[in-house]
Amino acid sequence: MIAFRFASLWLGPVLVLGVAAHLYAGGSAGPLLVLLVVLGPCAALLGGRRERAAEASRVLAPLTLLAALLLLSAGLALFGDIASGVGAPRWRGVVIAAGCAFALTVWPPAGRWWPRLVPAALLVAWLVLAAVAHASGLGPMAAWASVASRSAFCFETTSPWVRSGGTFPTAGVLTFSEPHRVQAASPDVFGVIVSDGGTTSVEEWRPRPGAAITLRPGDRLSYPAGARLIFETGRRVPGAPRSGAAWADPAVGASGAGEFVRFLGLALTFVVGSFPLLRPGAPPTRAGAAVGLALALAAAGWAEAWAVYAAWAAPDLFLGTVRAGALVALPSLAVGGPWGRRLTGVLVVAVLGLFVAGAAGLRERIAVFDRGGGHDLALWSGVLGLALVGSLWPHEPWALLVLAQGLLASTLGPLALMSSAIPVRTQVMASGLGLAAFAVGALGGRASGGAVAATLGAYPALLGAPAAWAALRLARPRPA
Amino acid sequence: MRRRFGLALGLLLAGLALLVAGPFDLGAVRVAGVSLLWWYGGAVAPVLAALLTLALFPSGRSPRR
Repeated sequence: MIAFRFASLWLGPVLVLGVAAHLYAGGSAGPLLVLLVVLGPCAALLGGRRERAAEASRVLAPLTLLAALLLLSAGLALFGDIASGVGAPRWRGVVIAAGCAFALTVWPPAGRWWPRLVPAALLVAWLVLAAVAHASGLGPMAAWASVASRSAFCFETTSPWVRSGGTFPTAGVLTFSEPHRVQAASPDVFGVIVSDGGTTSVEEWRPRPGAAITLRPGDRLSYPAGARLIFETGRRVPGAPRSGAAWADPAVGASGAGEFVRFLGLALTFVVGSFPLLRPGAPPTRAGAAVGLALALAAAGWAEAWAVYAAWAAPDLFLGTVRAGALVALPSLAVGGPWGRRLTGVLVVAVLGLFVAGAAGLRERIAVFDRGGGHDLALWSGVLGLALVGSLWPHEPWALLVLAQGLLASTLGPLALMSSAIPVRTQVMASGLGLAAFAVGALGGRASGGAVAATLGAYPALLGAPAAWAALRLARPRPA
Repeated sequence: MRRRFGLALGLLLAGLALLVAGPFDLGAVRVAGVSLLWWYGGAVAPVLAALLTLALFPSGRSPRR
C-alpha cells in the first residue's frame, strides 16, 4: 500500500497523458519525458534526507499547499479539456472530477482501498490500449514504423473533421502548408493572416455556415473557442509534422543553446521537483520500491504506445495545438462505432481513477500540517474549492504541472536533498531566494525575447533550484 | 551511494542528449524498425534506471510506518 500511495502522487493523469501528448507531437522532449517519469521516483527512492526534520520548517506547509493547489488545478483543467473534447460544457468535466475527488477523500472507508486505484487504473488503461492495438492490427513497433514512413499526415475519410466538422475547444491559429479549402460550420469570426512578400495582412472572415474559403501555403487562420470548421479529405492536417520522418526524428542533429537549456530545464524540474513530493512517502523496503518503479514503468510504457497508436490512427488530433485531453478520444477514432465510444468512456474512468488517487495522496500530505488541530477537512476543502474555481477558466494542464514541479524544485527540492539538518532560518532564507529566482525566471523569461530567455520562462526552476541550493550550501552550519 | 546514483543519473541523461544532438544522427538509426532515440529514451534508459535504483537500494531499512 505504501508503494501505491507513493505512485499515486507521481502518476497523475496530467503527467501520463502529457507525456503521451509530447510523444504524439513528435518533439524531442517526448523520449526525455518518458525517462523522467521513471527517474523522478528513482531519485526520490535513493536520494535526499530520510528523516522528516524538514517538516518542522515553517516554509513547508505554505509551499506544499501552493504546489497541491497547482497540481489539483492541472488535473481539473485536464477534465475540463476532456469534457470540451466530447462536446460537453467545460465546467461539467471540472465539477464531476472535483466532486469525485472530494467524495473519495472525505469518505472514511475509502481510506483503506483508494491506493489500489493506481494499479487498477493503469490496468484498465492497458486493456483499452490492447483493444486499440487489436483494432489496428499492428503491434506497437510496426505502428511506429508505419507512422515514421508516412509521406504526410492527411485528413482521412473517416475523420469527423471532413464529414460534419469538428469544434475547437480553445482559440488558436492554424498554419497551412498547402492549398486548402475550408468550410465554416458555425457563424464565428475568423482572422485570415496572409504573408505576401514580407508584408503581413490580417483580414476578418465572418462566414455563414456552409461558406468556404481557400487558403494558400503559408496562410494562417485564427479561430475563436467553439468555432466549427470542415476540412478537405486527403489534405495535410495543419499543425502536423511535415512527414513521418520529421515526426520520428524531429530533433536528431538539433543543437543550439535553446534546445540544451530546454533539456536541462525539463530534467531539473521533474527530477528535483519529485523529491519533496515523493521522498516523505517513499517505500522503505526493496519490494515496495520495486512495485513503485514497476508502476512508473507501466505508466511510461502506456504513454509511449498510446502516442504511437494515436499518431497512426488519429492524425487529425494534430490540428491546432496537441492537447493531452484530446488523446482520450483515440478509441473512438481507432475502433469506431459504439465500441469505440464505450472504450473512450472506460478510459476516461481510468484517468479519473488516477486523478482521485492523486488527490487522496495530496490530502494525506496536507493533513500532516494540521497537527491534530481538527481543521484538516476545512483546509482540504479550501484547496480543492480554489482549484475548482480556478479551473473553470481554460488553462493548459501541462503548464500548470510544470509550474507546480518547478515551484517544488526551486524551494523544497534543495531542502529535501541536503543531507544535514538545516536551521529553520536558513530554510526560510533559501526557499525565499529560490522562490524569488523562480518568479524572476518565469516573468522575465516571458517578457524578454530569444530562445534561451523563452526557455527560462517556461522552466524557471533553472534559476530557482540553483539559487536555493547555493544559499543552503553557503549558509549551512559547519562542524566545529 | 547517492554520489554513485547521481553519476549514473547524469550518464543516462547525457546518453539521451548525445542521441538528440550528437554527431552522425545516431538517434535516427533504426533498430528493429524503431529509432535509437525512442529505444533508448523509451525503453533502455528507464529500465536501466529502475534496475540500478533497486540494486543500490539499501537493504534492511526499517519500515518507518
